[in-house]
Amino acid sequence: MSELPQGWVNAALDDIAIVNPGRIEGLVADTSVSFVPMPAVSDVDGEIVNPTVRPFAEVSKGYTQFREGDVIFAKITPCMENGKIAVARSLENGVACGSTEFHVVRPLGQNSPDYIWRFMRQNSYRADAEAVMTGAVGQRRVPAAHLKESRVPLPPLPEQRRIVTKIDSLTGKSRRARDHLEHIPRLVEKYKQAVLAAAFRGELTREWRASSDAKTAKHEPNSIPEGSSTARSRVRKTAALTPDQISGMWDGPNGWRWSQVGDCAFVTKLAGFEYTKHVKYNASGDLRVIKAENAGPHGFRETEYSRVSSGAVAMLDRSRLVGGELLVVFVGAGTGNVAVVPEAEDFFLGPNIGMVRPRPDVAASRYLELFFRSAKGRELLLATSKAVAQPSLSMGAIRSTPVLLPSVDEQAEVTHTIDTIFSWIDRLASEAASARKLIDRLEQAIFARAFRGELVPQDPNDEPASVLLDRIRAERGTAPKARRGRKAKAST
Amino acid sequence: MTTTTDIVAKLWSLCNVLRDDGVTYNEYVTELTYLLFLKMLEETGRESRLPENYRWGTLAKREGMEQIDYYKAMLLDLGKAKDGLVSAIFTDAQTRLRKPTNLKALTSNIDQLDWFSAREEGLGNLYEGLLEKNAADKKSGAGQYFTPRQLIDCIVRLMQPQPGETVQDPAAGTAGFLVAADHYIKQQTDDLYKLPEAQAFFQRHNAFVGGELVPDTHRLCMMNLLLHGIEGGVELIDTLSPDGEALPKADLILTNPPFGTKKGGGRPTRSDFSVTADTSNKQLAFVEHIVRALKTGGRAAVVVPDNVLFEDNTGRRLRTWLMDLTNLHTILRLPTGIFYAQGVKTNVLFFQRGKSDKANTRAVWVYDMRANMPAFGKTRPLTVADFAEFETAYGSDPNGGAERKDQGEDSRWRMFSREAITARNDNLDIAWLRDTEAEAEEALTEPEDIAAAIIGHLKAALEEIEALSEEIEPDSVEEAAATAEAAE
Repeated sequence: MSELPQGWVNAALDDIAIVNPGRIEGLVADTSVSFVPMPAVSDVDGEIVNPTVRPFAEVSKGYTQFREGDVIFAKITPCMENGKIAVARSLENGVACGSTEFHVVRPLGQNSPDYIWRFMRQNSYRADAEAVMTGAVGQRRVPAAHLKESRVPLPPLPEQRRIVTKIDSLTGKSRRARDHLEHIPRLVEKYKQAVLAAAFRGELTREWRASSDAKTAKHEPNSIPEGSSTARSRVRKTAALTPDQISGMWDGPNGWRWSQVGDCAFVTKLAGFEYTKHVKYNASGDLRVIKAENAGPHGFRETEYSRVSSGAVAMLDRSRLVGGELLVVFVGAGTGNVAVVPEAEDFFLGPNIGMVRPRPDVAASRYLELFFRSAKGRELLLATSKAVAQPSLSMGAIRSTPVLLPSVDEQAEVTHTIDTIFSWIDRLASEAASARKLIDRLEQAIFARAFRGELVPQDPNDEPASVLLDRIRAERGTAPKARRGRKAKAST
Repeated sequence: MTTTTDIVAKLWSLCNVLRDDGVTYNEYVTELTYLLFLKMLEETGRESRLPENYRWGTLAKREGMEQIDYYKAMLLDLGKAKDGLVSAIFTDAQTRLRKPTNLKALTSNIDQLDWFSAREEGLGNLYEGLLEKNAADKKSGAGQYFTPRQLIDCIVRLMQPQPGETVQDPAAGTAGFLVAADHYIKQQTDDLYKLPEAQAFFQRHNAFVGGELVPDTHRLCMMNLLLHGIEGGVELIDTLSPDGEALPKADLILTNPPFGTKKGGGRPTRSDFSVTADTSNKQLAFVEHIVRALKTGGRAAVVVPDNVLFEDNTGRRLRTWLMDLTNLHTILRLPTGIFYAQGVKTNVLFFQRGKSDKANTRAVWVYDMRANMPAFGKTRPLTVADFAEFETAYGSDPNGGAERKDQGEDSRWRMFSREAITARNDNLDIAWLRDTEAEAEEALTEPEDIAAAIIGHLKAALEEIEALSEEIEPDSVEEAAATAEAAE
């Protein structure tokens, strides 16, 4: 046991409070009381927030009773771990009936419930309580005995109040700081979308256009890229734009042209029959399989890949990926997600995810990825999705999707600028997240200091806590409890 | 002969030419400052204040690289001039112009200005327009020296500066408040013509006083005042140092002290400070200065961030002291997103120094212009109309004495008695409307506005943590900052 400051005593909770004092005597049946079911206590703030009022007769049976100034402590998982621990205040007629899943701690001898509450809300206290929970899975509870025996460093009464005031002044600031930081993730998302919107209106590259020789976008009919081993002579005709698609388009700057995906890229997927007939997953295969889950809302995601052996799928070379292709999820929850296959890596294109291989002289995959991740670009992509409950995209729909293209050089400039900005804001967001975690640790460190007596100076004129304990013991008279003669030492 | 408006238009378009050449608004307005000053001295017959070899005429008639070289030498030497005003303008002066054609374009345009009519016909507006563009240019960081025009005008209309009054801005920035007060007085007095000569002289030379810490900003401040016919008055000083004690006492103080903590956690060094001597919070210290700088019965309007209203310890002591020595009759809670400096929550305090030092505040009226307001920013700028309801509620007495009516819990305008405030531990961060800040932020669409909101939250979080650190360990902030500075 570490050194406690002058005037302090290391007490058991049982020495300074009654745990579960039992039913309240002498209440008339029609007295109004507060009713506090578990949902009425906020775990974030550790407060009773939404109590209702009921006549005592209605709630006197089957609920735990407690009084103004008691500390209630949720015993059941996960309420306890989450922090449903509160000081009962502003109770109707000073009395409440609440969930039986609360232990009730009634401070004795004018010990401050606010002090005790702050002590019990510490992460360390809760962790200790969690470690001793008993009971069946889903019904685990903290035994009352643990609470009774838990050690509480007890300062003199006036110092208890000074500590509470000081803690509140400090945590007021940390709470406000954390509150500010919590606004940031949402704002970062909005920021990224706003940047994408500006990018595809041509605003990010306006100065670049003015300073360099801008080339207008090339616009050529679709043809399968040279060098593909399955160059077929058949040319797919891209469907005309639908009214929905047209209404989703916007004016780009001079030199930018609207095209359709099918006119600037080769679009394909693994056909159903191909999958059924030829694709057998094989854990020792040499080729990783790309599925819909690899294209997340923010781009390419590594997963535990299924594998196939390259020999077994040798004839499906339309589905061989070599890196740099654009992926589009066309069915299921992730419909509309786009991602780029990592450069120079081999994969096999699996089910539910389409592949777009742009003509390098017309469009770049990264540009298309960002275009279809922007809000308006995504709307264009999904404009033709047929099912309402489960949106899906046909290859024809993907091919017909309009896309606004600047010259290939400007596409590179656009993506480079976006990447630079995003990496800046991501750094900021990550710093904010780290700061948030640090604030949590800071608060716990403040508490730890407070309960070691190092936050607030001691006043030698305060009546020592040992005297207070003696007084409490005397008032209780000869205690009926078995465990007297415990370790509580009085420091003088 | 070309009119002023033509010349001003040319100077604006020249600004854009130079921008493409890499000259920022800040650099351009500074460049103009040097040249306009020299021209002004020539036009007003005061070139004797300059060393003999440096005159507007000699500069204007040179050509090509020779002109640029002469100009550079001039800037260097004038920074060391004996005349106080001259050296203030040219301290550390440097030019950003590299092409002789650009310098020539500037000098030949300015050469054609008729100084007096130019001042009346738009040169001042050009200058202030540039200052505003400079402030809006987030990279320049100049936003912190600039209070939005609409807010300044609203405050001046309510405070009603009078001829003969000493008006002080202890954090003058680029002189926005002082120029606005001067403009208001000129409107009431037919441009000072209605005043006897002695009083007009006072208005031009002694009425407006203040301090500004940063030399570059001070330069722009002096020029802005000169363009409005006001000479001198704002010193290059740190108001929170003993120099601030020497500022003339004022009938009216209008100011927007800089945001943020004093770098390195330093304390004010004035001997007359009693409440804020031990804090690194600059705004609290400025409030103490303002109260001490007011004459008996003098009035003030001060822009302060939220933490001045709720911070404990020194903050609370300051507020209690403020409400004793002055009648703090009105607080205006400002909406977010209106400042060029990134997202701080601010308020305007309106108060009058009492005859005694005790219990001068009996009630505080609060107008909440923050809750349920649009998200101000590039796409939704602040307008005069936004303040109309507040100005009506404030009433026609600058000291808050007009008849006022509490409009109830659902309105923006409520009264709180001194007792009610005491019950809140003198916390003046009073809000009663449901705050829809999250919704205001949801409505932002421009990247700059959103980035500003993010940075605002980060800064606010940082300030809370700094305040927390200081409360736990008062010297740790200084030590940490000293270590950081040593490492730089």
